Amino acid sequence: METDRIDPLEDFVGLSAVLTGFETAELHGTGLVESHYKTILDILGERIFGRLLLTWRQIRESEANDVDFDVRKKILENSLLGPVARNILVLWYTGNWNQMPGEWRDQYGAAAGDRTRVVSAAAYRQGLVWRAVLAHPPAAKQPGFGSWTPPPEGADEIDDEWRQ
Amino acid sequence: MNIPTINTLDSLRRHVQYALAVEHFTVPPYLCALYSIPEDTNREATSVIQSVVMEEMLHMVLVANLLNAIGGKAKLNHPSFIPTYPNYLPHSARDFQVSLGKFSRSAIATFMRIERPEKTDAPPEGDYFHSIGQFYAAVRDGLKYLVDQEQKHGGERVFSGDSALQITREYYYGGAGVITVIKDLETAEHAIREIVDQGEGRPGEVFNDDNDKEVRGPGMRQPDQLEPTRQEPAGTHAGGYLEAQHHKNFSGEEEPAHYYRFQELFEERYYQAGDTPETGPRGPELPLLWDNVYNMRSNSKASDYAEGSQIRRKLDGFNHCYMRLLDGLQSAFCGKPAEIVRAVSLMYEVKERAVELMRIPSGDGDTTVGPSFEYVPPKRDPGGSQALS
Repeated sequence: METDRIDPLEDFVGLSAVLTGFETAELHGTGLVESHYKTILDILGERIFGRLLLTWRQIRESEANDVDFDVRKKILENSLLGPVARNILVLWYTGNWNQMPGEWRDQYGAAAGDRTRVVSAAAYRQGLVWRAVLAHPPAAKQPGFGSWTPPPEGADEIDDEWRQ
Repeated sequence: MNIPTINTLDSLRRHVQYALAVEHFTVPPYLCALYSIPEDTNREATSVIQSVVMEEMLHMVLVANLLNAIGGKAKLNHPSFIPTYPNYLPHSARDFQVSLGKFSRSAIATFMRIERPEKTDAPPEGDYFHSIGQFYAAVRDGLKYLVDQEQKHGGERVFSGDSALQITREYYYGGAGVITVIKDLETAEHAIREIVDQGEGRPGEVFNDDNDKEVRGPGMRQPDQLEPTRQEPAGTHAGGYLEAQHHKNFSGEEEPAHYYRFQELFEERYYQAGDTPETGPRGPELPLLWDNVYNMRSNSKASDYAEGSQIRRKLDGFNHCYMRLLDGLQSAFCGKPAEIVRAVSLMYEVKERAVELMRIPSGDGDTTVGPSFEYVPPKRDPGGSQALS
């Protein structure tokens, strides 16, 4: 991929990877990259969402030694962007969009689409929380009869990491 | 009785193992086409491919039962069993190659070649076969010959296998069709007939069954009902579901053999009552959205991606999962039939991982990665056959 091309979707995936702790390939694998992007854009509008992505792009392009630190400093601690970033994190994990905090809405505007809800069935099913705990979303992904008897897929790898 | 090409018990066992390899060979290409179709689009194509692939899995179980019945031993979790794609059908006449790729008209054309019916006068072919029907005809002739030798000339006992190794219907839930426990020539022929009828159909016939031919059309097949656990609560196993006649699909509806079902997709038109192989399908239209698929790169390989890279790790993870599934089937076919239940849950896992790979960009700006279905050596268990226990 060309590095000088501005691709807001890639910016979104890159920032999401830092916020969620999941790799970009993993995020693409959920099939939610485009729909989450669109959901957020619809709710927040170009001005706020664009500001978030631009800030992320600046962090990425500054080739800072510690991207996580910069994201904390310039995004999470920012009064406009911080609550947005936290909401995006929750969206990835649970498939829920939580209404922005009252204080934030008072200050930056209350959009009509900014309502607490599960944004889609797929967003729930592919929520990262299930991957994080090596479980299946109840009633949504079939694990098959008897699948509760063996340890979860990937559990042995976690054990390996702990041992190291 | 003429001496057929398969005329010793060793040769028969070897050829039945080939049959297992042939049945398995078709599964990854069919699954790639199936999983490349995003949810809720091309539902008709999804339902056709899914029903075919489930029957291929049934065929694997039937072949494993046959192999066990004649005292052979299945071997699945082995590099020689797992094909690299593109490739020819194992032990075939090598006249066309099969790739792992997305749902497309050319993929469906290849699937039709896999399932194509033999000509009515085609000779049985145990090696370098031209159609799967000819291959199974050779296996059947070999069986008959050896049973005849045993009965008339005191030849070696053919059905000497341990009956405890058979996969019976209580172990086989959520799949297509009926499991045949094989113990003699009659049950063996029944199983072979089921495999060939479902794949290529009977010569000159489109539909598998003679009764109640009806005009089929949109809405008559219900893709949702193909999802086994939705139709049948997990754990209740067989029930009425498996009682269904094998010529009918899960809704009890008439169903053409695989070849003709693929032809319906290819022509974007259903077969209807009165249609024959010569007329082709003349029923209602079956419009498909050929472009509405994940643009999976054909014949992905883990080695296309740098070791340690995100995509490589995803592909390795997929391949390990697939190997564990084959390990599970290996155990199930070699003395622990209950393992097949566990293998089914790995099939769901394989599906989830395959669909993920369908969505991950490959990095060329155009295609996605797609699953590669490659052999990988077992991670922890050098024996490779008890990863599930």
